[in-house]
Amino acid sequence: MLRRGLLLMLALAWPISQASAQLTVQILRGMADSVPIAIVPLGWEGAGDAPWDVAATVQSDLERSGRFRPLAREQLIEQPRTAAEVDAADWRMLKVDYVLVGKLSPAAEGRYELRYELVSIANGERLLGTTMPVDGKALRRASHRVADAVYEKILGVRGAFATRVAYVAVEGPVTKRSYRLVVADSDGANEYTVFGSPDPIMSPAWSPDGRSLAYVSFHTGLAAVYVQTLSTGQQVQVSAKAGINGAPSFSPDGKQLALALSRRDGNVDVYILDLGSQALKRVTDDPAIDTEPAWSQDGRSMYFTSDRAGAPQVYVVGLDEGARPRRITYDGSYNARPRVAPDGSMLAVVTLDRGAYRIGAVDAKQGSLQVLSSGQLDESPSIAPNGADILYTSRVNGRDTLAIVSSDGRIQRQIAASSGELREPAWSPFLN
Amino acid sequence: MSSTMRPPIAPIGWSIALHAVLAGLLIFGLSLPKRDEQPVILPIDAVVVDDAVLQAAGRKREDDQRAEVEARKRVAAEAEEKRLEEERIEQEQERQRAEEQAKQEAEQKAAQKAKAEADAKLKAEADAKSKADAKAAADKKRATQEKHDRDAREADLRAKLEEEETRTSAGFQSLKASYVRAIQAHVEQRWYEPPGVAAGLSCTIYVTQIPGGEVTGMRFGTCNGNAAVRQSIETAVRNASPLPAPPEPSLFEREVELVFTPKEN
Repeated sequence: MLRRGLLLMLALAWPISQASAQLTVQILRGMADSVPIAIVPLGWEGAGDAPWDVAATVQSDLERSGRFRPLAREQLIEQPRTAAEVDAADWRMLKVDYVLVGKLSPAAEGRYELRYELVSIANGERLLGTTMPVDGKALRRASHRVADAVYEKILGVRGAFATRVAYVAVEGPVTKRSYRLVVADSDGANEYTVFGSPDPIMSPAWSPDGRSLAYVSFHTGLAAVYVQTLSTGQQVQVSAKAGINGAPSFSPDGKQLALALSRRDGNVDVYILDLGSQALKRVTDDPAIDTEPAWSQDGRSMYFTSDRAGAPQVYVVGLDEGARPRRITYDGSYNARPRVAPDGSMLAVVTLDRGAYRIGAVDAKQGSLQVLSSGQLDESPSIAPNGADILYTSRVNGRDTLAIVSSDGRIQRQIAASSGELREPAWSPFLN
Repeated sequence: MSSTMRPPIAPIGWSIALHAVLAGLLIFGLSLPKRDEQPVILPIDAVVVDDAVLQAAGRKREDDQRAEVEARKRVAAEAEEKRLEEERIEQEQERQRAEEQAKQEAEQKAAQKAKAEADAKLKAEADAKSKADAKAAADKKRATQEKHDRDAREADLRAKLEEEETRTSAGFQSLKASYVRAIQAHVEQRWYEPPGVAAGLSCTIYVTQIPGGEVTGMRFGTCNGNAAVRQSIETAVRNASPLPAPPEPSLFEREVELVFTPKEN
């Protein structure tokens, strides 16, 4: 009876279960290592040769990001100039997911009109269609912006190609070293020296508006903190207290500078210097070394490195009166030099991982650590303004060079230094 | 059927009775030459005749001739009377025989009737029984048919249930799991996961495939991903066509639900 009842119930339930019968598949990770894309050379609508190969710059940017796999130019079977001319079936044959097309037209007085369109081959949809006027001298920069737009459209994250990088270039033999504070485009182009000295230059930090750099220089014989405006080259000494003056970090509003100072008592602690009033506020007060301050995104708390527990670890302290520091990192015996991701969810740190110093990502809430890089002596992490990548120094063959690792650790690549050593990179904020 | 169902006593009883009758007929038939001279009736006749003879002899002594004539007359009369009486007796006997015969016949008839009735009864019973049997058979047949139908229905249902059970059986489940894994790996290999989507992304897309795995359609279900995530998923699914074939054809589903829920890195 029970069985019959059960049968009946099942009989009633049967058509429903059959109707809803389907396969559910969980997709837990994307295994594709990059997005296949075709960057079609832009049509040039003027006389002679095009003034700039926009497509080549875009292609180089996307390829360098590690997230795109642009089709080699010689493999392009056709060169459409508009989205309407893109035959999705043809590009699907080439296993391309997206096609970027466009054209460059001369406008008045050394200006141009740049038009580009991005087509998704999966559904034939036009994802981008933009026309922008470009100054003849800004075609490279405009190309980076096109790459940024493509990056953002496809990955959902703003591209950071049209940004800059500051770093310290060290050249010459040990006895006759030269130090240069250098700023270059994110692709290494347009490199120029902001400040040079035979004495060490350290810890460059960008102002939030991307117009200034703060850094430590010993060119007076003692450590002092300077802020230099890039457009004018004007250098201002902002802190030259007794003892250590180091590790400057701009507040999110750019009005304050966090510093590590030892002052007269020799106890290194974190302070906040108001750039307008020169007022100094002590943030930490501990016999241990508290250094390498980094502002939280909202400017209301400060991350820093402290060895108060015996070995360097990352702490955070609220900037309200009476707030007590809280330890963030617990994984491993060494975690230092925190840098806060733009969304505040992650801290990039230097971590001691099985005898090697590597770049790690710390969950800002939980403190859990993921080792991202794989070098032997990786230092000085700096997070891209879009949070997607971390630029750092990696010692290779006894020489410091720059390297980039994606924030998820999937993509790692070296940036070869032409000569000398490149140290302490600092990725600029988004530049307008 | 009905005859075999009769009690075995009846024929044996009848046989015994018949034998007894035949034995009786043989015994009495041989000792009595004629059926007319039955011993029971003769002595009675003798007594009646003796009395009449004695009375007639007494009166003969008183009268001679006349008496003799009268006696002769009487004898003649008596003879006549006797003849009549005998005739009457014979008639009576005849009547009795007839009666007996009639009685016997009646008895026989009754017996026959009884037998007939019994037979009829038996037959009726048999008929009734056979009818009942037929009905029972019909009922049984109908019941059998119904049972068969029900069994068929149940078997059908059971088959479906078994299919369902098969679907939930370990072997089938492992095949299904391997099919699911195959699709998972196939799609995962083609999905470029946009950076930074891992935290909390849950995006369902319903993919329609035809046998052979060719993707013929897709539609998003609930999805908290942004346009780029959707684009990446749509591209992954498009590039995943044709989807891998199931290890067992019955595993094929026209609609496949893909749930993109990346784990934390």
